[in-house]
Amino acid sequence: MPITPPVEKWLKDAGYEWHCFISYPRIKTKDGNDDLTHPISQCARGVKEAIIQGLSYSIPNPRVFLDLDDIPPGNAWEPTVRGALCKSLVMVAICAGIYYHPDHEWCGLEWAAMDNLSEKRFPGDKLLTIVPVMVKIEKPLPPTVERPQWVNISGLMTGRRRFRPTDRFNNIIYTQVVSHIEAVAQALRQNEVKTDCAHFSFPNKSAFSDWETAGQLPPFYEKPLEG
Amino acid sequence: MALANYACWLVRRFSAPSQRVLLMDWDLEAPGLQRYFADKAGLPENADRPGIINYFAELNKRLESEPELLNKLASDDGGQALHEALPLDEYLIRDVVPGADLIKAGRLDADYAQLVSAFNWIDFYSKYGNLFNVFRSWLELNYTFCLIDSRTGFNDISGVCTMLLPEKLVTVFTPNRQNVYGVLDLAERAVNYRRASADFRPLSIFPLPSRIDNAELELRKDWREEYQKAFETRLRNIYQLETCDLSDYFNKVQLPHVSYYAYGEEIALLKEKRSDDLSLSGAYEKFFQRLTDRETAWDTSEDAEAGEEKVPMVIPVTAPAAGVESGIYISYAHTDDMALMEDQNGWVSTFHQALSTRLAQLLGRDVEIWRMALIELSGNSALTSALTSKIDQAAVFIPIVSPRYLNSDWCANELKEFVDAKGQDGLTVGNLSRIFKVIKTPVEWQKQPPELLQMIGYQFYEIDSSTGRPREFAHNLGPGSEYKFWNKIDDLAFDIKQLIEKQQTGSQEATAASVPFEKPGVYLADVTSDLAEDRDNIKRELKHYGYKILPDRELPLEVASLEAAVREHLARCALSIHLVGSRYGIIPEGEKRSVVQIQADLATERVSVDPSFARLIWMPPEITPAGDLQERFVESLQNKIGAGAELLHGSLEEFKTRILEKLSRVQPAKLTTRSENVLTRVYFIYDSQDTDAVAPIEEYLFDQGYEIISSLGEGEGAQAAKYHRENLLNCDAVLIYYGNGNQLWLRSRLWDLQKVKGWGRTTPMSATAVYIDQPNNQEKTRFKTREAMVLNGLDRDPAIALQPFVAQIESPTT
Repeated sequence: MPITPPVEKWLKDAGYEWHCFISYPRIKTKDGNDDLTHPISQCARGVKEAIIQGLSYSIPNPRVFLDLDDIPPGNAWEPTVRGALCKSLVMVAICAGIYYHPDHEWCGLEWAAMDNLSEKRFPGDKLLTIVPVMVKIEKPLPPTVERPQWVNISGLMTGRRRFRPTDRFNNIIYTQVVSHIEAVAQALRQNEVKTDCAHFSFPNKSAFSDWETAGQLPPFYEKPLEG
Repeated sequence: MALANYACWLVRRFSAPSQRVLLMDWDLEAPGLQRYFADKAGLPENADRPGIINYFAELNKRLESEPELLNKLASDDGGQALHEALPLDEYLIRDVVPGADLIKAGRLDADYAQLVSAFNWIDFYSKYGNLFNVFRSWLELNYTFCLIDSRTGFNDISGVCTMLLPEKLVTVFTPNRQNVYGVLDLAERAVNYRRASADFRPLSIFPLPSRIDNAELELRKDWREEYQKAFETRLRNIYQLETCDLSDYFNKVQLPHVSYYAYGEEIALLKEKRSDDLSLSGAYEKFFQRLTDRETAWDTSEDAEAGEEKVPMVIPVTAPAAGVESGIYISYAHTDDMALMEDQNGWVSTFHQALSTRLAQLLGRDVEIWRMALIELSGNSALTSALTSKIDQAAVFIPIVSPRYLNSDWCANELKEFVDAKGQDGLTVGNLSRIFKVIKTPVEWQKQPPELLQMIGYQFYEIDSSTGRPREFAHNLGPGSEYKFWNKIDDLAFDIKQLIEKQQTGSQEATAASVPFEKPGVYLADVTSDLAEDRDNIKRELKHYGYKILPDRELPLEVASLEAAVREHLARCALSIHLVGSRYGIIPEGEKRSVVQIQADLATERVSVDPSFARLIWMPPEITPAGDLQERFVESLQNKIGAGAELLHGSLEEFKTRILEKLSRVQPAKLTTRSENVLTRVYFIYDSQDTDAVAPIEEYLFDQGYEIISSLGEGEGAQAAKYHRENLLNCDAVLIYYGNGNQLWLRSRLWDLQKVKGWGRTTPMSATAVYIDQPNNQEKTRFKTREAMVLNGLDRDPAIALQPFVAQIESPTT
């Protein structure tokens, strides 16, 4: 159900500044700059824009936080991200193997923090506030990532060198991510769950700290040679 | 064989010395690629040259004996370390054809078979899997194209060749089920592996049907249908495509069976001096072109040789909507719909599709949209009757303005057809224009057709602050540009929706000047280009909440007209909003202040006549004025902001919140200038010689909702004098037309305005003005008065010249 103007107003009053927070591994070039051409970066931005587009059918100026765009110059990264995460309805995680890797520990901390928020906001409920968007499905996945609402776009990402937000991509985001954000918005309103950012902090432990990747599967076919 | 031909084609096409090709024979069980290049590969120095299997066997040996080597190879500079540890030079047969090097499968001696069977690829991968990436990266640095000859089938080597190494996978098959479904399974497994791997490169499948026998027409047709469908279905699934149409691909891509090449190792591209469509070399060339130039097999080209499409066509995109005065016509120059890349849609096509979808979403039903799809425009051609009827039928006309549009007679004819069909009265619905100007590429304002001049338009570009060049918004120019493109589409669709709904309700409201708004009008001042997006952002939100935003038409660039227009708009608003950035902006001719500052000054002036008028000014948090003028302007705003104004430096979101708070306190009733049932009477005084010349003025004022009382000509005695006096006593406003009358006549009429108090008039007139028109003379040029406002109509459209007069009437306090 789309977010109605009264619900939107309630969300603002309840402290929800962002409809969605995008969590993704920041890829760096050799020079140490953000690699904005990397498919993960492009996809993160594509997801942001598709969500904005999808939400804009029901509300004016949807707000989706992406650190690359939404941290004003000079602002400290950690408090800004912490504030944005706490004031978001939903976190979308752009997942590939590197997302769970210790090199990108912040991804695991964001995940753990949002999971904590989810438990506070919907205690005992199965409605989760994290939507993993799978750019790659490098199995085995961390157990916490294997959840009902995962969104698989790995095929879309494999056909071309550069990410392209096709109609299919937008449809997937509209139907699976935007609708989830809308459901969370309604549930928060219904349960009158407001933000409580004064007591919110990042946990000490990444959500993936106990998980070890099995590494890349061998590139060999299971079937014996035929013909 | 295909690989050898491809190498020859590549070196022919990319002949620069830096663009080299590498062929690698990974078909270890049936090596033989070198035989196609026997001239070089057969030379004594190459006969015993080692190949792929020798290289990896040696690498394995070195890694086992030098454990520290693995760390070096795992570093960021692993490629260089690999080159230093085990140079490839010894393995390369240089220039098998000029520009292409070859690595054989191995040294084909007595030990070869033993070496191949003993090498454990699975074990090697489990220990040193990342080395394949290092090896690949090193090759990529040294070669533009690396071609891998791999045996098909499910074995360890084909796993390396199809899953680990390539970006494009050519699956060669002959039309039989074992072959077709065999390569499909292999392709699917390879792509699924890539989807689950840490490798972010694409893996794109290019099917290549081979040995197609032209003699068996029926069989060929049946098999074509089967394998095309099988590939379309499989590719659609593995790449999560909405659709996958390989008709065009398989029309072009198929290798005929040519018996000659079944024998020996001839390379068709070298053997056949001339290629045609039926030759093997011709078929190869078509395939190689696609393989090289396109990212995927299903990509289509906008430049397809579709000669049959070179006729005018009207494309209905969606089903007609019932009961509506029909749809929307998009008028554009064909050049503006040419795709920049061959696999993309043109700008207008994308615009068309996006608008259609968004409107359907906003209205809850489809709206018919037409445009003429022409491959070649013939400027002097008459519009076809089918096209004319669509234009006449359209409720909305969207010209896509660009330099090419202005040069197109065809586009000019379309606009004229629409204007003629609707007539002046029919060009608006209430106060909304049926023409929605879309500016794709900037053009000189004055070069636009007169019908479009006054419209603000939807600007689908921005000026790059670093280069000063315009950058168009498009769906395919990066996320930033695409985001802006969609926002503009949204603005346009929203406004069209309003017009369509207004038309449906049949509420033919009077024009904006005479209609009190349900909500207060808001003057959202024009800004410098760096703040255009922020202005759009605010405009979008205010429109969403139902506020009328002014100016709703292009502001004139000549200072007097500009001031008059701004005053008129301000008079209809309760609040003005000014965004001030680091730039000063355009300075109109004959003026020292920028348009931005003039608007701010006039808003201040407005407060002096209407103390309830509010001003909100926003500056970005950290502003650095560019230049002295802007510095002074910013300083003056910060230090002398004046009554009724607030200056905010916070985020744009905070500013928007403040605007909405401010507007929520404004009473709409304050804007109502008069009761709906009471007419405003304008007494229009002119010389009898000017009866014809004043007609457009009368018409314009009447259209604004005023009752026009015309003066009588001279020489009609006492009755005329009485009529004149009564009109001055009872009218709400007076307009004196200074055309053929002399200055004496004019002064006498102005004097009457003073005398009217003595005749018994107790209320002030809402507006008095002198309208100066042709014939021009020195007296008129120098004419000034403090008794009425002076309107310059000498070279100006009455609608523009009369704006201050109308604004004055509409203002409740002046």
